[in-house]
Amino acid sequence: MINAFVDFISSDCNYIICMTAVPVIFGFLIWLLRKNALLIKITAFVSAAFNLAAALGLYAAGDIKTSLPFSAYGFEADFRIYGLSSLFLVFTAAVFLLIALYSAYSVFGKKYAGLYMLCLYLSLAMVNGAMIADNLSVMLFFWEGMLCTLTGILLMGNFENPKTAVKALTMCGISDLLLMLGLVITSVTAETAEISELSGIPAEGAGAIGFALLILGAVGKAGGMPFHSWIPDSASDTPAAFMAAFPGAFGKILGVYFITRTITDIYAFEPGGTAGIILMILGLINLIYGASKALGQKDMKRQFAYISVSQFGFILLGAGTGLSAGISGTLSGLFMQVISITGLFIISDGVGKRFGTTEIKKITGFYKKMPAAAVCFTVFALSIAGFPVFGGFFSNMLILIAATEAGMVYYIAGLAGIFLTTLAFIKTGFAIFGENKKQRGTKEEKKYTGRTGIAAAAIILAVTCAVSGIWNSIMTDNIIGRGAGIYTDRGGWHNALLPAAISMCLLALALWLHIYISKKPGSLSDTSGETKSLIEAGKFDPYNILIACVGFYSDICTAVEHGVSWIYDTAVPGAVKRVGMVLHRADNGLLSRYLILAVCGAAGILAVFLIVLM
Amino acid sequence: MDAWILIAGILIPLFGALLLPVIGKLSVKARNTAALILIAAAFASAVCALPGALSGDPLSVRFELPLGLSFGFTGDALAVFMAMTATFVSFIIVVYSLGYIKHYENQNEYYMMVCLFIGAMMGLVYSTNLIAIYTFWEISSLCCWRLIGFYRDDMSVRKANKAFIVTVLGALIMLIGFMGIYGQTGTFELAAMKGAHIPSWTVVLILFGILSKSATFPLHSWLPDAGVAPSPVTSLLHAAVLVKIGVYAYARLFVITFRTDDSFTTIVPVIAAVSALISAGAAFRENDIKRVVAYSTISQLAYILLGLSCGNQTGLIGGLLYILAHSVAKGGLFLCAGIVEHTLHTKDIRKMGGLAKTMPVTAVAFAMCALSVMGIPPFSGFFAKHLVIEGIVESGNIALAAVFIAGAVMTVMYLTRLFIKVFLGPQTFPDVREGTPVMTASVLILGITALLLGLFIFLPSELASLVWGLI
Repeated sequence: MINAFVDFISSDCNYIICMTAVPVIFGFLIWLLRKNALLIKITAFVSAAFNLAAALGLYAAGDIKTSLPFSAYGFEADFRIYGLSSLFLVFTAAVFLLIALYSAYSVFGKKYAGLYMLCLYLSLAMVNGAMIADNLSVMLFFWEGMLCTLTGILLMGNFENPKTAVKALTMCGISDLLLMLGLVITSVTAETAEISELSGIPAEGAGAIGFALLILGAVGKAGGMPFHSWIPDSASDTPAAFMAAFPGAFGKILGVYFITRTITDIYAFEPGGTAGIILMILGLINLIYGASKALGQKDMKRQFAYISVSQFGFILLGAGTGLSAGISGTLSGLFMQVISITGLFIISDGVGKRFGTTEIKKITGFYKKMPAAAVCFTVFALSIAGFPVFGGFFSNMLILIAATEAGMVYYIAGLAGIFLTTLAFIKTGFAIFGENKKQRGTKEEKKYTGRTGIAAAAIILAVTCAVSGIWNSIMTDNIIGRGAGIYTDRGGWHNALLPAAISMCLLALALWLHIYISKKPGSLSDTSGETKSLIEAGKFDPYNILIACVGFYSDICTAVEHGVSWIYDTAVPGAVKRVGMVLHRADNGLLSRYLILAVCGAAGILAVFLIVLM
Repeated sequence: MDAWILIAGILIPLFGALLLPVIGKLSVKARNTAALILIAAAFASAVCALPGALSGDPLSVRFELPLGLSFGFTGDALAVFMAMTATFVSFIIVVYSLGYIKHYENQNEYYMMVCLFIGAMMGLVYSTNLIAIYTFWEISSLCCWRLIGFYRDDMSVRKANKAFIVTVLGALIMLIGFMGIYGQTGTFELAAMKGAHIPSWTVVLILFGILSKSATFPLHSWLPDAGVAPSPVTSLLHAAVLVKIGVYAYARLFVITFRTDDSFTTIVPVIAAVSALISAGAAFRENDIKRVVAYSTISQLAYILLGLSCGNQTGLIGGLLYILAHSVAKGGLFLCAGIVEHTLHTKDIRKMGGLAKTMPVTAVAFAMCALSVMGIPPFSGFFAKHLVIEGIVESGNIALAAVFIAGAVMTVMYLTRLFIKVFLGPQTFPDVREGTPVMTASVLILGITALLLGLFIFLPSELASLVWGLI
């Protein structure tokens, strides 16, 4: 039966329909069923399970290639499944199963629940489409199409305050346009837009620009710096289901997928080359910036959003090494991060619903009210911090091994980033597990809907974190090794003793530092008053800087425009009027004067025609 | 006999338009119906010419005149593409007008001028002769003058005069260029001049006419000012007919017929880039809803010009698809702006806000059209923008492509700003309602068309691809 399903899914254009059209159909179906909780949940489960089964079937089927007959010029409808894309399809489908179920529980009963679910499914279709497209332009169609659903969801319920939606549309729009330019340069350089035919394009001259733009576009999709600033803002404005789905999963998976393809397939990427160094530095900037910002946050959701930025930087570091250990670490790190960060957002949703706030200081001692959530938080935090036993440890280890081979400075910077992330988690952990007499006994706790869904989703994700750590070689050697064709021989516990010791020391150091500093007046996260006020005013936000620059540029254009209008509205009519007056004065009514003027006019017209005819 | 379909497509709206005031004296409903029938007839003639264009054997007709002169019409891929685009959007605009214009005076003249306008457009796109092209060109200027000055107040008349003077002056300069070409080739027939290398000074003179008609910097100033006209008129000018005449002429003359110096494949894109960037910058600071959309037109026309002028198949197809996508989307934007202006009696976006709650259909239609202009998939504008950018990169000019990407970023920013100011944020007019059903349906149809054209882009793409074969 399984073989029959695999044959069915991989034959003709069935996989294209199953991965793109079927989610759209299910999305509309759920939208129609939006008033029936049970049917929504059943449909969400069935559709997401079907999507996962289809992705697994394609993973098993191997290489498939199809060309559809309705191609437009430059947009040949070619699709292909191969190792890496099928691996990412499985990642996406697995995460989507949880997100769909969690969303069905979480948003049901809300005003825009049906539309939200529709956008979620449309986005899944777009992500799947981008991964199976074998033409750069068609891939961009799916890739950029997510802008509509992303903006649509951010607008839901925020009609009066659409700032975050606008910010997301602008920042993601810019990164997508950069990607468009990158794709065009790449296809023109390679003289083909068929992705399977792109191989080893030299990253020099126009190719270097193309490569840089592709990476920037992918970084933007994954929510990396400098396109990240809408993510923390949306953490405050949107339900956690959105955060888990979009910046947490879809964007990151798609971004990392394309970065991996760019450096492993499309461009000739040499480990240690200039492109790799730039990529690693970009990764480190994201890692340290995101972790530092996370440390300073007062709100749990915003903190997790910055950790998402920081963790993307870490996997970018792995990709930038160009080494098999680094890329394997990037792929497994992506999977672990998506799980952990999705789990963290789900917990923050539960906390927000229960306590009416996600402000870290106000939820002190919540472990007593939500013990399962507290345990899950600990699992996710430890996994991201690279604590042995959990899956994140192995991906961190692989990336750090690759960073060591690339240069000790990258290794140290990577460790520093992990250290800062750990500190941020410890700060939140202390709030969760601490005692706060002022807050204890307050009546902020509420009963809320979707408790079962939230708890179930968080527990499943936490168990996955633990299981993927214990049997890590299945992930690194079998799944990633087979899917991406990257074998590292680094899986298993026998390689992990020294990294485990380093990780434990780092954790202990972070714990000590937090305890030490928390006894001092002020804290590590406090910044000086002036800098703090600038940060709070958003002066360093890339979006605000962009708006200021565009505003300045627009002022110049408006001045130019006024100048041009002045010429048309004042200068030319004025000149014509003056000439007319001069001619009027010149025409004194005498025949001789009239004849002179007439002859001059006729001579002028004749001269023009002579010039033309000559 | 079939070729008479083309002549019918020109003459029915041209001469039918002259009858409309008479019919209007008898019955308003009959006049409105007749106006719709005239435009539908023009659209039908273009559809009938489509099979010939697709097969590579276009409908053609030619008339010999005394003194060795002649004129003719042909329905090749480019002509049919333009005719179908212009008449489809014009038809929707006229349907919309039924709701918009019914409270105003001078309706008879309005419908007459609109149909005359479409007839002139049909004549221009099917013409195979430079003098015929010039004649229809000037008829369109005349219609434009009367339509911009529709309200007859001082301001409207002044702006109408400005548009008339700029476009007619441009056309006269272009005519000198035509004479120069005649002086060199001894004919006005395009077919006879095909492949002829024309002197650069004639190219410059003709470009004057084209750039003034297609409102390209610095000859663009009349277009934002034309916003004083009723919204269906501005929609007609910006989306369906007037400004598209300029880019059509560019494609017909400089892409398909003549050979020009290679320097023009750099000069024209540079002019387009300057136009795109300055108008996009101005749009970002403008507070009049129609002027924002007007600056957007100037900016987007530069993309069309870029596509047509970059000298390769990708750019040409991109430019043509851009004409289609922009016509539909910009038509929708202006008609939405018309509904807003008609309902709120203001064009100042600072006084608007939160209209998405009270005018949801208009908001959705506006958003769909804006997304298409921004070039976001699955809307048709995405494909056009992508191909235009690819065309310029193919021609080896990555820097210019980057400039146009910056322009695209600006487009996203000013259209988003416009949408927020008008439709989102706190409600400033809580009691307003949607426009009339016919107006609302019109904008929704254009929004949905922008989407459907994206999903089925392979259909217009096939026709656009054939244009390259005409070269």
